[in-house]
Amino acid sequence: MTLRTWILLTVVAVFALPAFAQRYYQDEVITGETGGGWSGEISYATGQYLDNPCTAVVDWVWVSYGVDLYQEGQALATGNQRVLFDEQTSMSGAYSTAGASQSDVEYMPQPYTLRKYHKVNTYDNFHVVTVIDFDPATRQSTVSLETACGNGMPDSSQ
Amino acid sequence: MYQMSLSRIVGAVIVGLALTVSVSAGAQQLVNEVRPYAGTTLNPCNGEAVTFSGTVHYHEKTQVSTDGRIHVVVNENYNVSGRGQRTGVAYNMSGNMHANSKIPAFPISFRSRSRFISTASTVPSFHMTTIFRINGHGIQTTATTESDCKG
Repeated sequence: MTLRTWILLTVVAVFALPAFAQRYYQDEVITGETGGGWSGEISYATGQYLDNPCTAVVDWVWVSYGVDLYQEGQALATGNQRVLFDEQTSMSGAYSTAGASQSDVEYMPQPYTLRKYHKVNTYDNFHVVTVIDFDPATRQSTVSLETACGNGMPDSSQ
Repeated sequence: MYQMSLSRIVGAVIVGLALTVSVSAGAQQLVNEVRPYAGTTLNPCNGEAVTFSGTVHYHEKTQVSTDGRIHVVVNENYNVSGRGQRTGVAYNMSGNMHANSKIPAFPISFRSRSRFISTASTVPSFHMTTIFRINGHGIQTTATTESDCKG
């Protein structure tokens, strides 16, 4: 193998490690029966490299990223489920952010996704997105992190 | 001759299907308008009916995402004033409901709870929840209310 190939494999390995660490935290179950309703919480933490998608330059920067997610659910007589999501996100490192949001969702028992945008401490429109994938069958949420050059509003490009 | 025609037809169908998929995946529906918001709700803290009127600014974008689900982005701002039917006291309320969600094409509701503030110290304030119901195509259809005396 050439030196160039070895360098490429090393870079790939370094970037792959945080991805494995992330998956470990994603699969935790949040549930607990309490008299018809249910509630649960999960703490998700990971470290990974992020690139600011608002800049042309590729600038992978290591950040520590954490999400505390509390969920409270109830089956309705209509067959729908009503779920309250209380999410707190924080990120530290060269890029940082902190924020919280709530969603009160009523939907049929089908999986859905909530996307929570948090502004990063840059002068452009760089946001991190806490992606919450909720599965009503298991009452389990998985949390993952995305980046966007937009604020997630209707007139935003992302 | 027959083979050539058939291959042309198959080609045309493939191109047509590809165009249909790309158009539907990229098609956006945008809503940006102010609509009246009025009704009557109950102040459960003192039992009086409160009639209210105001507006909701509906700002919405829906799109079929690449995974086939509906991507709903809504940001609704509402502002109403009300009057108690028994006390005659004025009430005010404003709030926001924001959601950015990907769903299969079935109706979904998002609730936003705000404090309906009484302007008189002798009349209690209460909370009103506005329920935004979005139909399976991602278009906001109705906004209804419910009230409570918690907190």
